[in-house]
Amino acid sequence: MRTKFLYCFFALFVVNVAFIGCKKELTVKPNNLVLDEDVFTDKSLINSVLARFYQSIYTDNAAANGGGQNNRDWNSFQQDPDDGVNNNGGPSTGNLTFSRDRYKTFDYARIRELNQFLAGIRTEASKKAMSPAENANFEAQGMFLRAYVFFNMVKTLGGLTIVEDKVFDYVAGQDVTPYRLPRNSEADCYKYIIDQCDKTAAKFATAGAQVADLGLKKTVNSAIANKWTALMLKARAAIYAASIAKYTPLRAAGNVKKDSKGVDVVGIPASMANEFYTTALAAAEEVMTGPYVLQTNSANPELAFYQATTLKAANTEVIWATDRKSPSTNGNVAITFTRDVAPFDKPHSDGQDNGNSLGPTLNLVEAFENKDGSDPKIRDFDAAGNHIFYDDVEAPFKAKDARLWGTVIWPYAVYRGTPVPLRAGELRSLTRSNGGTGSYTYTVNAPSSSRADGPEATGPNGPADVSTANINKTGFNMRKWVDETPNSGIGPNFSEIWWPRFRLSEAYLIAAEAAFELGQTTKALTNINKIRVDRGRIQPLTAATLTFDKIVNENRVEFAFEDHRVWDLIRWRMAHIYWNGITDDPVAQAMELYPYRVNIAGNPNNGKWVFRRARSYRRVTTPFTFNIDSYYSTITSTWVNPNNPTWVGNPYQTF
Amino acid sequence: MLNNRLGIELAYFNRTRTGIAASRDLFLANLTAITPGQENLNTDKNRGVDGSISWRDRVGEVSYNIGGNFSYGRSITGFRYNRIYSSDFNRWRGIVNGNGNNFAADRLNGGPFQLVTVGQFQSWEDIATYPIDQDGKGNQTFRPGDFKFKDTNGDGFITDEDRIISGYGLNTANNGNPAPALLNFGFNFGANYKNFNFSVDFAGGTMFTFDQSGFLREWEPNKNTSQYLFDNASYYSDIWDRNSPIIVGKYPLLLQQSAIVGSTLTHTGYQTNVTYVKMRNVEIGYTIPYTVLKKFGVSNFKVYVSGQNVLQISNMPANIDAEIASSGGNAMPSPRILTAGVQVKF
Repeated sequence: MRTKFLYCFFALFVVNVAFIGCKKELTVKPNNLVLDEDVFTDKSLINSVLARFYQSIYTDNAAANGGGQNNRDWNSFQQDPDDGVNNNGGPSTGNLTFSRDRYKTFDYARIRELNQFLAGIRTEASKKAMSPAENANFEAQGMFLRAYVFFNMVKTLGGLTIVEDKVFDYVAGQDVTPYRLPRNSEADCYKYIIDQCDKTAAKFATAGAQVADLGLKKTVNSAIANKWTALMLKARAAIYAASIAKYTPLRAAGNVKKDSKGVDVVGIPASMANEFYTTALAAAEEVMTGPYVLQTNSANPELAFYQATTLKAANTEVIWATDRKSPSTNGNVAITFTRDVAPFDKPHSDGQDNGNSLGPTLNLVEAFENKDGSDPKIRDFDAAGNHIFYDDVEAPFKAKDARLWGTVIWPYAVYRGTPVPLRAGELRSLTRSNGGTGSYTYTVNAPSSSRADGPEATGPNGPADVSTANINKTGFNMRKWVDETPNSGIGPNFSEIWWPRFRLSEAYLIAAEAAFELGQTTKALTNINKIRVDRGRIQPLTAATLTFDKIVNENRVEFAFEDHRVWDLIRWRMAHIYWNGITDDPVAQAMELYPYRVNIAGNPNNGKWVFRRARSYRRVTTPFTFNIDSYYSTITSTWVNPNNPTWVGNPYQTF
Repeated sequence: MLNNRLGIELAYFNRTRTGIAASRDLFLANLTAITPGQENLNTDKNRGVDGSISWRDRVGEVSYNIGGNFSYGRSITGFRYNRIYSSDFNRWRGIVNGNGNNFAADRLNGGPFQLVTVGQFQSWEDIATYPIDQDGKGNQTFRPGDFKFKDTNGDGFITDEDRIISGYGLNTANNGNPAPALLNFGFNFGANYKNFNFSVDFAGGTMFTFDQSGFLREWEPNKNTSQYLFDNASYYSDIWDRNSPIIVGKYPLLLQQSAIVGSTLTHTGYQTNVTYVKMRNVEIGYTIPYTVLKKFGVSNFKVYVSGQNVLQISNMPANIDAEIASSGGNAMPSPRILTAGVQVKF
């Protein structure tokens, strides 16, 4: 009886295990994780994943190294110091040298995440959950971001391994040597980026053909990518590749490297330059057919340029930007650029303690040509060493390219409705030392702590050669990225000025440069003069006056403080030539221009203005240096040994 | 056995733990951007012998019990994934390139590789004629009282290569706690005679090393130093005359400039291989007979005196608590508790 009972019990147990053992209820979805299949079938979740990606490339360049120039950090603009000087502190000492790893970008982790994203978007479940247009739009966003991240890696490190769509995974104990893929050639990397941009643009076009709001139209505040963004990246990548191919052998022939199989991991054969220039020209011209138009205004070209770069309201030419939102609460991101950089005298500040931190250099100001085509150099003395007197302190600047007004605040330029009193001091005697052949004596004082402009010789913002922080030290203040909105200089509001990455004018200048290099002078002139005349109101170039240096300069003035110049000089292999570390070199030596008011009662020049140029106070002994080895960042030795012996180091590295 | 009077127990244990989590050195190409998790790779072992013996009996009106126990056990580092040694010497020493850890110490779970102290310089003449160069400078940096080290490889110099495994587990390597003793033991005795009861038990350990540091080792500016160290260190016979003879004590001269005496390498000069036994608990009591209590309506009345940690016999420096959790001696020792009590039940 007892045994029978036990058998019954056992039988029950077997039945239980066999048929009910694996209860479905035990397979529970985690409540603290969102699973892939949930993310990629939900448009809101996909959007938030995308937002995270856009935010992660906020720093533009390396997550690891703080990124390139960005108006999130005013100090980043003084790292290429022929444009800006940090006004806080005394003269810097030692060599000011570009560090080759400053912008080093190595972000395969982001690429892997984006590949996971793309794999999710391409699943059947995801395609079923939304319309084909929406799916294509999401896929294109991911492809664009991946191409952009890879472009930033390649521009700092040269050819790297193209991993395409692969999401590498590791199973315990597996052999990992098959993952040791060699570096692709630099040319192949740029071709891959260009090809990805083409495919991305096609995806966007597919989406836009089905749903009018997707892929082709301008996006809100240009914050996310569309077809034109992809084409803009294509044009930029192609012009970089073309310039590297053409100018490396001419100017920096040592910046090449082959691996053991002879692959050009750094350096692009010069024979490929034309192919890349052609691609760049075509892509730039295609961007011009998009919905963006240059913002110009013949009545007020100065203001139009400020609006085109800095203001997002009614902006028609920014193609892609990092957008921001004020006030900086509830997770919004606003920037403190205006607090730190705007003039801090009484009528112009919002009462903040900071200000005047960044001083545009005279070098930059003089890069802006004069409207009448005359010598852009601002004259301070005549040949005999006597001061030249100006009735209007603004006169030498008003004569210049209209874009200057939108880039810097020059002495007594209007900002927030009133002139900014940038005044270094007064000239109270015309007597020169050494019996009339030596120097003048200027009256200066420490800028007033009351911050209001008064009878003192020196204005409240400076400029002054003093180590005090927040006093201007170059004679010019920033206007680009500075916000006129009230209270944008103080928290919690701060400024919601954006950070444009692509503007339509870049398409014109890429087209001009590519056409120039391809010998299509007419096309080059059309494009560059569109910028020069419509925008800057300066003299158009002719076939005789169009030179490579003009293209260099046009890029400099158009894109000052937009993280272009250092990359342009790098791709042209001009950086070590320009930034040569030589004292008083016209490019490497940062200069200041100080205005003095003439205060000699009864003198016919009383009330007029004189200027005096000098080496920038903070850079007086430190002309900028760019070493020949700095065109590429370093390959970290552990990336090669032991992690991946198929890789080789970069030029000027021993492995 | 023997009518339940004798009890003997002996146990051998050998435990192997496998699958301890560890990371492989994979050398993954960076382009994979994978951060692999840990895997079940490593092995540990614990091996040893436990034993106890007890005897209980009655002699006339005295009943008593007596017993003892011991436990000898050591933990042994078993398989370790991916230890790659560049030479047999490094394998012996447990030096993995690029990794500062001394894996030999955990392989053996015993003493560290260190220099062995073989004595002290007794005089300036002793230093001048000592054949082994200890500091690479002809022993110029030594004073009477400083340690002499064993020249293990016989090359005439004291170098890193003279280090051998010496001593047992160090307290300084055990997060400030005493190192686990390899051998622990205890004794207990109890007796009852009429209404008197008495019990005592001892606990002790041996085969671990106490390494003095901090207050017990150094004389640093603006810090306290133990009286023990001052009493036992070498010193100038005339404190105001640096040419006066140095009286050699158990430890080197205390110098304000340097806390490191003799060598920057670990050495045994300040170490003691400890053996200790403590009278952990002792109690003597008297229970008043029930016949006396009955008229007071009390069922049980007992008076007793007991103590904890009453006594320690050890070779610890200054006989400080062998279980102290500080190599400088500056921690709360096990408290000595003396209790006198009355227990009444109604």
